[in-house]
Amino acid sequence: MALLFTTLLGLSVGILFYFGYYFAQNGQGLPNQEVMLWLTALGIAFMVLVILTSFAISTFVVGRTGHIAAIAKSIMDTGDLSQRISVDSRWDDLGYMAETLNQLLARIEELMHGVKNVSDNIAHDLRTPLTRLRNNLEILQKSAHPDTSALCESMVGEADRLLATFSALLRITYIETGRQRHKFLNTPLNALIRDVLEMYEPVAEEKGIKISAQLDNSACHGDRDLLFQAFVNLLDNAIKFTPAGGMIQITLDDKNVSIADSGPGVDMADREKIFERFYRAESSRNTDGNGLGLALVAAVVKLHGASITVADARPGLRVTIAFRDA
Amino acid sequence: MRILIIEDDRAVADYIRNGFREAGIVADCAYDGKDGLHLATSQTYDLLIVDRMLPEMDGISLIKTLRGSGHTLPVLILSALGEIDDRVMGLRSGGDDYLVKPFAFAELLARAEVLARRKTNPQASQTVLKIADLEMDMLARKVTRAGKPVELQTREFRLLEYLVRNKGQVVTRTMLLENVWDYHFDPQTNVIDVHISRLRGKINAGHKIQLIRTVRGAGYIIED
Ligand SMILES: Nc1ncnc2c1ncn2[C@@H]1O[C@H](COP(=O)(O)OP(=O)(O)O)[C@@H](O)[C@H]1O
Ligand SMILES: [Mg+2]
Repeated sequence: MALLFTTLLGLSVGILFYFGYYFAQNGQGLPNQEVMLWLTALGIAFMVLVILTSFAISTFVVGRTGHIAAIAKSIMDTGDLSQRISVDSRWDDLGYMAETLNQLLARIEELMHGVKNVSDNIAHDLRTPLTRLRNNLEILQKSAHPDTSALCESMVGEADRLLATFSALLRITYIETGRQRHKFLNTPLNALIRDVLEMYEPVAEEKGIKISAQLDNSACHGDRDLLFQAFVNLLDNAIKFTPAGGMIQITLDDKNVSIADSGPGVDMADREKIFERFYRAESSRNTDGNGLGLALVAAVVKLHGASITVADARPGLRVTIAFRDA
Repeated sequence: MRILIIEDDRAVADYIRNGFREAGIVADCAYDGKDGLHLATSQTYDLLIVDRMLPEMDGISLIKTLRGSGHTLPVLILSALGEIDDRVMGLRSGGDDYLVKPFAFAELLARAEVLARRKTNPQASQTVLKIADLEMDMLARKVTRAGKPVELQTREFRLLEYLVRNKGQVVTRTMLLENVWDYHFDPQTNVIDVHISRLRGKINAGHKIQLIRTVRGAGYIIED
């Protein structure tokens, strides 16, 4: 295709040059009227041809790239990696690119499948025996000596925490595969946040932390259980890291949900990392938790096509999730 | 109480049966869908525990067939998959409760007892629920203890209602989350405990008998 274009362009430029050359040769006078006319007509004809071809080519290119972009967007939106770009010509560069992209997609799909398999394996290969261990420990505890009984109980607790970590990990992977999107409904954010507050206010109160909320009426398109979980994780962090007597402020303003606390905040250098799986800042290693809370929040945010930012609340941390129009 | 367990993984089936035996409950086992369906329709049980993936006939089809022929006995679905979608699908097909493998036996036992007794539970349709000297008026949404009014918030009322409707039976924290809060999520902390202790504070203040007992390693129970 590029070849065709170059040839045409070359030809028309050639004609023009010839025209110029002819002029130079017969500098003394005007060239023969008829030849002049012919050459002009030929030149114009070639120009028109060039314009038409480039128009056709650009329409074709825009159409093809538009198709590629549409497929890419659809894959991002639905998380369905089995989609492919249709290849209807093999002789042009875009056809070649489409084929390469399809191979890339196939590879990604294969890898994602691998990830899913690995996590399914974790579920099967580790969760099941761990549960058995836990349950047997519990049986042991019932008949155990009082000293051993306490030990058994703490071991059961440890196993439960491990199991919870596995479940959280699997859940994140599941959310990341994007298959939950078909359940999306119009969800009023204020009612959802009020339910979260109602549930966690007593926990904050026990710690002497005051929560204030300012919520408008905005809604988003999403999964209520996952959104609930995301807000719970953020509020849980805010309550956990804010010292007794502190303050938490929640605002909902035009699809922007922001949770600010009066705790120690997060160092500039750590702000990106806190969304990684298992990451916990040095100073928070002695609080309860597994470092998966924010990773799950990030997965939920991504699933909803929203964005999340962390900022300094002076003092404390401010986390903001911005939803977009559905 | 008599339970039928339909589960092809014999280790799991035996583990469940032994657990029930220890709790004084008779349990039969079937190891594939066909046998399970045959037993379920030819004998009387108070509860069916069905694995989703079964040879011969999968759990969901089994439940559908059972419901199609007019059997109303409660069914608890077990599943290794464990995502919310599966849960919704399982409940839609006619299951009454859903539990993800692997689970702690205490969780299964609590759910099984609540389910099996649901039909015979006289509290189900009453408009006034009673436990010890506590009364809940379901129409006026009022609670009294020894004749004196107790002020509860909506959620506290529902929490108490769930406990009282299942009085004498252990309810787990997950059961409370699912039935009282109606969100499917992992609470991160002991929120339920905090709500229970608030509720206790309100209903027990100034009374000798303390209602709502914690059952270690399982959940809560309210008893006469
Ligand atoms: N509100 C907050 N204030 C201070 N630090 C926070 C806050 N929220 C999160 N962090 C930091 O981010 C880390 C990761 O958070 P998260 O993924 O929820 O894990 P976890 O809560 O289990 O520690 C925390 O360990 C903590 O270091
Ligand atoms: Mg956390």
